[in-house]
Amino acid sequence: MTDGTKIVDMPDRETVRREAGNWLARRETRPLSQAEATEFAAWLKQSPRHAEEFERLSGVWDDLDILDELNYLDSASESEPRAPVRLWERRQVVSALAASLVVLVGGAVIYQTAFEGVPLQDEAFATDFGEQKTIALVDGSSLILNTDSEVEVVYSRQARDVRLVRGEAHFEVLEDTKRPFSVYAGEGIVRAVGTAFTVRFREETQFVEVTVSEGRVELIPQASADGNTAAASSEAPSREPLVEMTAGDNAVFKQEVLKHITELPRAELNRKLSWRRGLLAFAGEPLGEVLNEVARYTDVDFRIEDPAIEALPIGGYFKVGEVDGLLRALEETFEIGVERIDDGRVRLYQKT
Amino acid sequence: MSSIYKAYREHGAALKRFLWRYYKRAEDVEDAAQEAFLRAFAAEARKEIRAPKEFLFQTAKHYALNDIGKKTNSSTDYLADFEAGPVLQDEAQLGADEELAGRQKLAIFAEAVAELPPQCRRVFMLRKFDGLKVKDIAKRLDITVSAVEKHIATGVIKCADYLEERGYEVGGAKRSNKSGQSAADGNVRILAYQGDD
Repeated sequence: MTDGTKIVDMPDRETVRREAGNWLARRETRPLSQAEATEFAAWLKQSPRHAEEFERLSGVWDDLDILDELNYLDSASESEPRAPVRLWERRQVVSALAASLVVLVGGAVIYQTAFEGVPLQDEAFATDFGEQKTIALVDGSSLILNTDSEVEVVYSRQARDVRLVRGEAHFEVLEDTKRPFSVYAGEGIVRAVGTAFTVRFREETQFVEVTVSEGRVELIPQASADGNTAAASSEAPSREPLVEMTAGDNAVFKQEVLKHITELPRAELNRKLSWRRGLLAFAGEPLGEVLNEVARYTDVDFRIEDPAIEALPIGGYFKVGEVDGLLRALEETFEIGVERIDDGRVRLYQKT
Repeated sequence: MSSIYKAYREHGAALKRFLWRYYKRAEDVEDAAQEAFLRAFAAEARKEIRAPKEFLFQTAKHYALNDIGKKTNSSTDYLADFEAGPVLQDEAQLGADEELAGRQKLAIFAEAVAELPPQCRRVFMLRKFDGLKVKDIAKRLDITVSAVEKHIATGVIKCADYLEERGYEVGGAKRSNKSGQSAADGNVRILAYQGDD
């Protein structure tokens, strides 16, 4: 080892820090080539300061992972309150006809009373794998969009309509008897009155799953699946409700077919809704089922080699988007072999 | 600098005065102000905030009302229910103190990133908040991968400088006591399931 005092051209801290930053960034963005790896190793050994600086910056970089927690702040207020100007413009466009009528009648006062308190909205929201979003709607209701999901929100003066195009969303609806709140999913409509509920649309089977956490909702079969919210919103659904659900109920339906409706025990209900807090919770479900659920949050494909481990009961909860951590835990706690075939595929097998 | 952070720094005192409407204790006001900043900052990463000061105050109000409501009807049912199941208790459960410390750590890191120049900040948020891969960040911002690399290099140094100025101990010993339990450091808690027999 070289004696520190013998080093002649001790680089200043600034320079070392900058070089350390460059190495860190390079390693973060792509794999180092053989030559670069050698160069990096030599750089690290230049002085204790080099290694120390690199360690410090790596520490900061790793610790920045904490920003992920910003995703899980429990607030429904994360969307920006609509700027009044924008809303004004929107109203002007959407209700141009109505507005001209008002002008005929006269005065700004009448305009005020005619339009105040009827916020309109026509907007789509979507999430990627592992992403979740909280969206504040203009009427004060809100929705949480789960992984890989998409909704279209169309608020007209008569109705508040949301189409769940794919995935899952949780709705907290403010009561407004004049403007019913309906969620269109597949061939069904979920109608709410001042309530909180979750709708999941399973594209494979076209079944719609509804879980009510507060209040009361109605399930209504849709006459035709036209896939168009704007069209659907103009005519209020007039079909008879298939069933009425209250808090704690979970139902799966498609058209007139009600696959099941059950009242969930409180713990089960909480577990079903834990994704809203960015957590997936399991209490003894077989590994196969657990991985199916986890697969919704990632573009990684899981393949279970061994039927024996497929039935292994798994309990615990993990943070949405932390697939690597889950795999690590499976490996460490359950002694399941985990092999990454490539970026998109993971093989699980029984360790012997 | 992030516009939310700028508003937070410029109007922090006014924000706290405002929050006194909802709280009786100074520490609650401090906490709520910080929570409001974090939420507003997270929102800013998702979309452009046109009126940062108003947004910050609005967020603070929402938070405070929510917070007051929550303190009266406990929100820990879920964990309690879960723990009652036939599941081994895991040892990585965070204590209240640790959680508080975690919150402060989150705030100081958020501030460090909030101080970065706009494009650099976007890179950091896309990587650490949205969890995007580098090549997806490049695509999203319409810049090259090597530009992303440069932003990471300069940004991580600025963050380190900021944290050191604030007396936050960076790297080294602090980190080593966390090593070896990466799978259980708050992100993942998976528990062995005990059969009935």
